[in-house]
Amino acid sequence: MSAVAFEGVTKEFAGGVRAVDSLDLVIEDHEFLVLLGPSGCGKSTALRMIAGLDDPTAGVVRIGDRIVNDVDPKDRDVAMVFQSYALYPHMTVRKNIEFPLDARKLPHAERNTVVQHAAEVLGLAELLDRKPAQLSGGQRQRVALARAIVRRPSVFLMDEPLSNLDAKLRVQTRVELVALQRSLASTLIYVTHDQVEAMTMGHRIAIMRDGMLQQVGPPQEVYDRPANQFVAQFIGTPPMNTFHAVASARGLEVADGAFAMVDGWAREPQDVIGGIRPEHLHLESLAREAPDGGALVVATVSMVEALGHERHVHCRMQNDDSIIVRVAASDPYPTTGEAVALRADAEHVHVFSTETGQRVALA
Amino acid sequence: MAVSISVSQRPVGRSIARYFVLIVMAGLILFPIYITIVNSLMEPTALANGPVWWPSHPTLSNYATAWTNAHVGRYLWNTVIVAVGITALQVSTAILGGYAFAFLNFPLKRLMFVMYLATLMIPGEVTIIQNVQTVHDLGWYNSYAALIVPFIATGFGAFLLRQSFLAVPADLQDAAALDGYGHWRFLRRVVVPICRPGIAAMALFAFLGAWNQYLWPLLVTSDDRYRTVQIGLKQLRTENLSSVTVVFAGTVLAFLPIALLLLAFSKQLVRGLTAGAVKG
Repeated sequence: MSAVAFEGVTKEFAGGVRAVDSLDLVIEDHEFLVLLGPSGCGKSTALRMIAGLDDPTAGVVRIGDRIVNDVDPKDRDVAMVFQSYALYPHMTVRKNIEFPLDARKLPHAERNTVVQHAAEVLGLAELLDRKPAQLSGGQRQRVALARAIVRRPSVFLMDEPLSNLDAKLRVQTRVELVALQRSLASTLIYVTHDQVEAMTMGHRIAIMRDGMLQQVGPPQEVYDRPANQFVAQFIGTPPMNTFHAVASARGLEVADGAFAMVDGWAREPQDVIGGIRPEHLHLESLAREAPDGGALVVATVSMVEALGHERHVHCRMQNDDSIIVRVAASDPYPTTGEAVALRADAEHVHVFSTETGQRVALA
Repeated sequence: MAVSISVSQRPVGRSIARYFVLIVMAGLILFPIYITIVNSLMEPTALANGPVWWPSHPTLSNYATAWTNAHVGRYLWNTVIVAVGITALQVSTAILGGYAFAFLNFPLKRLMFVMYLATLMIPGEVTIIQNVQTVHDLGWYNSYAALIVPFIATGFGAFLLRQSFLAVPADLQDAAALDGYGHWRFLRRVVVPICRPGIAAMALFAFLGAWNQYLWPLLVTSDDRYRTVQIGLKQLRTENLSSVTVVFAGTVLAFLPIALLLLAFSKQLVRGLTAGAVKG
């Protein structure tokens, strides 16, 4: 049993800075959970509280059936991979990997076997006698991983382990980490600010902001049904367009036009924040009616970015809010200054409250 | 072509000027040492008309006289005991103090650190009378304890090693805590090996300071069995005015160990002083 649970956990640092605020979150046994958020959102502090490197100010942290608030880091059966890798610079790769076993007084022969096995799994067998300074960033990262896996902990904690790698190596290591987690069958809690890592690696994503949990769920669910405006804009590249609108029976009204909504708006017209992802917007000729009879919104093209496989058409609507439309590279696209009509896929229009930023249920 | 010549010539000219200045300065510093060594190798009578510049008939007899008759051997031995003792103890306390200030959180830490630093601002002469009195009261007059114990902890050592220890990334402490290493083992297995240059520099400073002490040993010892070499030299000068060559020989014997030590550890000394100033 190696589920991890936060029960009303708060962490306040000296000076009253509240890094984590009343966090309730359960990470299931064998789950790969990604803690995602901008820097300073409290995700690393949450991770450090599981490790026992920071103590909660209030609330309970559980690992398995145990409350671990007062348990020493070494007795929590967790291993952590740090962003800096935290390798001991004066020791060889072998000594670094062996270090946690050394503290546990494992017999010498057994220690060698374990180190050798971990080194082989991570492709470090040739590097065992080198010092960290003689390794590349990717190799150091593997040594840090090896040092974590030799202990066979029930919970792995990783604090932005890929952020110091170059883009290509990051993609490769991402795939390897997912495979590694599957083969180790351990619980893995992974902290990152990179939404691509979060979307591709985790079974579930927990998004934090200012110490508070915003939403937990499988990546696709978080992408498709963001709980609030923050989550909507944090996940997705380019981020979801958000703009001022009036929700009415016509749909989401922007100036004279409107974006159709699948279920309509049965209530009184109301000021809201509209949200539509760039890939759910389409450019229509001004002269034409919307093909499905839905409404159109008029905008002026302010810039077109070509990314090779697609184009991002930046437009300004009549209410002065900007909006980005994703266009396939092979499709025709307008020029800067041109007036266009925008149509949204009605089933992908999101509505958020202007006061709270929370998602507004349409039905 | 013309450009490449002017570019390559200017640094050469500058190097020559730089080396000239360095050679002149090195000459100024080494000249007294040279004169001391040369004259320590002369017969006492050869110096009747002032110091000589070049040894004509070198002899080691002055060294033998200084070593046996003037007890320089005994003084050197005492100095070695005192300097090694002070260095070993001072390094140990500085490592512990530096570790506490660098890695532990405890109440009044800042205040205590300021108090440590404040001890650096007080000249030793201000407290010396009270300290001599204390040594007398403890019955330590004429003993190694009097020469060593007052110097086993210094604010400077703890400060120097704290700065050195602060360069150890905090992640290493966290990693070690998760790996099952408490403070003591983290200090021994990680901090001390990583900060070896800083510790070596601190040890060298401690040793140099202890070796060159004059006033304190003079005040707490009167017995030749405990007197250190710097006092021995002074005594040598007073007692052997007729044979100044013996004084020269004694001086060479006194600085030889420290000169060898400096030559052997100059790299650590410089590295320790600049550690933390530049990354890596």
